Amino acid sequence: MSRSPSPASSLDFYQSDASSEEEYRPRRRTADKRGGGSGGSATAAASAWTAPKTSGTTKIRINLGALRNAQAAAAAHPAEGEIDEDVEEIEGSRIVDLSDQGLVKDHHIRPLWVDDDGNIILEAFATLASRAQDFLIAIAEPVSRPSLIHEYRITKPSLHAAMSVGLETRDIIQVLSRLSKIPLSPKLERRIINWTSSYGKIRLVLHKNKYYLESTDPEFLQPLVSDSVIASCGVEKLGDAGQQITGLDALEEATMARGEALFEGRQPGEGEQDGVRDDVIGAVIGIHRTDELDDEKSFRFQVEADKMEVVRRRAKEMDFPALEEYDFRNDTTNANLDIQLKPMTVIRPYQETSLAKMFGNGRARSGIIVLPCGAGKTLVGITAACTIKKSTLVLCTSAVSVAQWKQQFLHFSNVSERQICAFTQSEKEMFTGPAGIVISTYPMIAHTGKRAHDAEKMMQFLRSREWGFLLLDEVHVVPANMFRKCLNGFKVHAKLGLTATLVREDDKIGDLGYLIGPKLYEANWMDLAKNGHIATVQCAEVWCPMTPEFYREYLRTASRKRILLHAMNPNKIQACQFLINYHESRGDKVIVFSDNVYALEAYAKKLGKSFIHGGTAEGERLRILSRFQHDPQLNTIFLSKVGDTSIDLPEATCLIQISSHFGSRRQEAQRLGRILRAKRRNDEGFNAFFYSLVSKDTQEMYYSSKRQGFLIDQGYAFKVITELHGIDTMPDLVFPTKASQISLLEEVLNAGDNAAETQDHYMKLNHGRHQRGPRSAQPEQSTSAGMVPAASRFTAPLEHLSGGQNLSYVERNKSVNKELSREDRASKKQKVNGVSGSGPGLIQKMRTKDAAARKRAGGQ
Amino acid sequence: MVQPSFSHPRKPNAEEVISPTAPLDAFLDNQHQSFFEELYKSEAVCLCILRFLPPICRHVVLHTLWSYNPLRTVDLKALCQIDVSAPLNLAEDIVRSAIDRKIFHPIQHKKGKMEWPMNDTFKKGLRNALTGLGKSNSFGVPYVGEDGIDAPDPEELIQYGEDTWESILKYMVSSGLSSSIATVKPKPQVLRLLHASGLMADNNDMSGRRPNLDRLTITSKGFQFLLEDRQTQLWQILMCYLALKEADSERSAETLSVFFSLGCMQLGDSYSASGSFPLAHSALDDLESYGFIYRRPVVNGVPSDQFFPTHLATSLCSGNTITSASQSADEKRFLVLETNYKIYAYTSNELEIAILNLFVDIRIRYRNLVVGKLDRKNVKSAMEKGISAYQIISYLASHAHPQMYNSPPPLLHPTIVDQLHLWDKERNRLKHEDAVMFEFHSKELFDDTEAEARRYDGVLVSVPNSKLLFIDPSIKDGIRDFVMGQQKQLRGA
Repeated sequence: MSRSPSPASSLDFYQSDASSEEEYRPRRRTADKRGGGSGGSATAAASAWTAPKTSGTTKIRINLGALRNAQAAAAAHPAEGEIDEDVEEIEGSRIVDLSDQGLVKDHHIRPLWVDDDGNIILEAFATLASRAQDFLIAIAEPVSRPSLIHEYRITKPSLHAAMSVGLETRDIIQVLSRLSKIPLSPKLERRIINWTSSYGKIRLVLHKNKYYLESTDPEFLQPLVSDSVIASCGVEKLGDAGQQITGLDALEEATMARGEALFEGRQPGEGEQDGVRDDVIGAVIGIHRTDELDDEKSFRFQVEADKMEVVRRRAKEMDFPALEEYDFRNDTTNANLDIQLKPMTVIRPYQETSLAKMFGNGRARSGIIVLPCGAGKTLVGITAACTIKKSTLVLCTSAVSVAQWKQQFLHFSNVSERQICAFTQSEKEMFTGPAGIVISTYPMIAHTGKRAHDAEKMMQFLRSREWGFLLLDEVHVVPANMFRKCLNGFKVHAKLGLTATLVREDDKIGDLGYLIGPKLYEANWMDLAKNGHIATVQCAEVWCPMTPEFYREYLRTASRKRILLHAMNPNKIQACQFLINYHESRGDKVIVFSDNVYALEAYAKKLGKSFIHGGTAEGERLRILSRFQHDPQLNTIFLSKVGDTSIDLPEATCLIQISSHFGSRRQEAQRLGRILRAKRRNDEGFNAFFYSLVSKDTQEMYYSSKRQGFLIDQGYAFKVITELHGIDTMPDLVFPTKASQISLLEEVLNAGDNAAETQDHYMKLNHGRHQRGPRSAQPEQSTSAGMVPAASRFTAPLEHLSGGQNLSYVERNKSVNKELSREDRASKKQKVNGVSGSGPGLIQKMRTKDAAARKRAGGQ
Repeated sequence: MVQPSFSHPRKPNAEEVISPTAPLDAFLDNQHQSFFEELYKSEAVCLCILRFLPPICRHVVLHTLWSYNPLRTVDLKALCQIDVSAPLNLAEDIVRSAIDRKIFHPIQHKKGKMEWPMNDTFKKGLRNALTGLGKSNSFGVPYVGEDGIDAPDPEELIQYGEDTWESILKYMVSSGLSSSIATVKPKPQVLRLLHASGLMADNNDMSGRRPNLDRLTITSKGFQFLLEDRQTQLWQILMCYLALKEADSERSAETLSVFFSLGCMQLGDSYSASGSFPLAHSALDDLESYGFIYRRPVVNGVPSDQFFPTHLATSLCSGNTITSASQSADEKRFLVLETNYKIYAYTSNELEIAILNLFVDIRIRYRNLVVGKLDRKNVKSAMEKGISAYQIISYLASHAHPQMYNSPPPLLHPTIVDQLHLWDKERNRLKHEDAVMFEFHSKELFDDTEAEARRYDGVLVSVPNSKLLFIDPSIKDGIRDFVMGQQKQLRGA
């Protein structure tokens, strides 16, 4: 089963991730999964994907279960605010003892330890390390890559990726055993053979607008075709599945055998010395090698275009992952696009390596390239498009990044402006000529409801065409339900996914394997930083103690409000103000991130800065961003989740995070990415700064340590700052008095329910559209026109409404005189009461009198 | 503009270097003149003590050794290029450690000159040591015997010494761990010493007087001991041994001179026990059980007169800075600590692994590598055992792999060091303090009392609103009297 739950998914709250609608229902998904049992892979998963549609009625989508868990954790360790141990790690606490395994004779020059399960430890300082590193990147997943010792893990997808770039099982095993200090265990060897045996035998090709499963050997195709799921996706519903496999003429299939003879002397004997070994490794990881094409007859099976994903997934589950390659040079059906990189464009070495992996055998492989933010993903994408030279569809996350892509395309390549067009809400033009580039957003393409006439026409046009190349920006968002439609709707030859962080807290990352393809390349962050391609960043976690008032409410309040309470902690606001002041005075441009829109607005208004969130209109957004880039007066902006990805602000050099989405490692890395491309990164001694403000002793501490996981594995170190020196002497500190803090607490407690969501709920509730309703104004400094905020309704006790909430009256030192007079009064009262003890009787009498009088009157 | 200087959780000046002979120094600092007179009869002692002195001081001693005149302050100042008019302390600080070791007598005023006369016994001893004139045999008497054939070579001796010493440490570790490592139970006298020194204790024996030697478990002091440098460990054990001997009313000066003599011996040579240490047979037996010396097995009830000092003994006096010859620098530096809290230890040594296991969550063990993670749970459980963050840090730093030195300093990443301190801090966020509460009804009285208590610096908490005063219990009586007096006064008035 390909969707084997990662260890992380054993933590329910650990699953939530901030990328899609689905993350609001991680509990539901796990429930589905449990219901389906371990075996029900496809069906259970499918039902989980459809779940969002059916349960769309629930408006409040906060992850309650996660909160509850976190709360329980916090309750168990109130003073620590942090859970003792990761659950996943408790299982692993037993020691794996491999000390009985002997070492290879010349182990001191070999850089690897490899265990039974495919975990690999690499000495990064060994002489052979750099070569070994290249090799490992090809065959294994990097687990952690700090400075001296790296860890990798061989997994099935990673092996498939290795196969897809042209490595062979035998070579993998051979090189591994040459590099390992301990003899390779037969168990691992068997596993590698097992995992790779069926890979690459099946190809998925698009030919004249029709999809085929293709294989040179009917033996491999037969089990697939006879599988009920795949058979149902076939175009011709014939009784005998075997008949659908059509033999093809050798002529039709025989693409020129381009491959030169494979490198010779590839298998030297065991006993050979170092020099030869280097050659072997070099040869195996060699990327310029070409594959041999066999001239044998191919067998094909046509499948329906819209069932492609099902077929891919099914084939992968059956251990026959389908290879998707595009022989673009010999594609004569589709018109060529005249596009070339401008001569002045320089491609960095790692970008070249990653592209070489994609075009290793002269054809385009579908896959994913992982580069840190700011490392030039865009250029990689553009270069790929220039290599394929066919009609290209680019999908990215927002209209802002559409504009940026278009501008980058024009900047780096010689494509003419009429050949490139954007498809967004505001722009709907078509390119002229037979081939061109279309740039759009995921929500735009995946939209299912009614469309405007011109949009509909455009979609028709996009769907009907055959695309040479589909470029997916920020591909980690693709697994989301609404985004996967983007992939299924189009007829595409080659797909390239670009992302910085291939981690998600749910296990959806595995889906990318069959949605797009294997991971082709993953760069080492630390190396790039060392070489000056991305900025070096000082990371710090600032611990802000909760003020006693806030902490008391925090302990008392129900889960959802807690988020707001620790986000709005006055000490945090002060710390934020202090850091902004400090960095602005240094000449830094500061971005402040907050997931919580309420906190975002409150901070921004209090500190007098501009802000952008889902409710900010497009024009205003662009205006603020450009002011931020060019206006020396505007040095700080507040961004909500909308700014996590794809907003390209090379001016920013300092980043402050005040509230975040639970334990999302990806978000942390994406946000860090906002400052990695800092323009000034090549200045001597330049550092970018990344601060994460955390309220002490709250659940934030726990999530914060979770979030940092990815970056720490990349070699970043988070420094803990417990005290900011000089903050108490800073002039104009916000919330200086207890009274102002208490009134802030008041405001926070009275804020509406929606305020507590860490999400940009405007975006969520309106399905990506901008908020139409009244929105609060930007602070004075920015240009927006002020609007009256809508009336808000809330419940509160009477004394709160009357303003008496903080007052109490207790008389302690009572004077004896008063005491006496009070006693007097009390005794008098008693007397009165004693008299009135007969009161009811009197009244009764009077009433009866009265009644009698009336009767009399009536009688008269 | 206010510059933020981000404070470190660690205290400044905490990372001073502790000399491995600290236990010895502490012991010697508390001895009297007569003890040293006795000690300096042995030439070996004189030489070793000289070696332990700081370089400049050593130089001064050698400078005045052959002179008949006492060391004059003027000369010293001239020698060290200190201005003549400089205060005396400056000059005295230079020879302070020599004075502490009673090599120089305290300063004397003679005819307006100030001088430090040298201790005659020491002078004679050191002169003899340097010229080879002495007759005390304190450098050991070589064994002259028939069987020089199967003498163990230095490697075997080192192995023997390592094994014996580590088996003791291993026994200590295993007593504190749930996981079992194969250990050999040390001899009873070793256990008694471990108990007497407080490194191990019998938990069932509250009085500590009648321990059951089979049930000893390691104490927090013992854990700290394990993390120490080898040299420090040795001296610590030896000093405990001395203390134990002293309790048995044996003369410690003699035993101490045995240690120094051993320290001057040559690895691989054999010596005669009766010739070298005619008075300290029992000490030799004990030292054998710690692995300081090697002796042939007892034949016919007569212990062999021949003995071989191991590297543990011969490296005892090799000075502060030089690491012992046996543990080559590389062997000792085997730890790689990464910023993701992973620890990679190039070791197969059971003892090292057991020690690491005290505060590291060990995941995988290969033949020559142990992979673990420094995590909160394990570090905190280590802290419960009494190991401090400083000890963990100094252990990690002193065992850091040569590759770690390639990155720019500091050696250990500050984040990790900070985190260890934060974990340490986490344990004592709440402080317990005894207090006495006074409740007042009159604001006036409250204010007066508070002022009074502040005068004694005994106010813990004062709550003016509800007129509550919490004071230190030590000044309780005084404050009570004060309050009574005030009350009386108020009433009287």
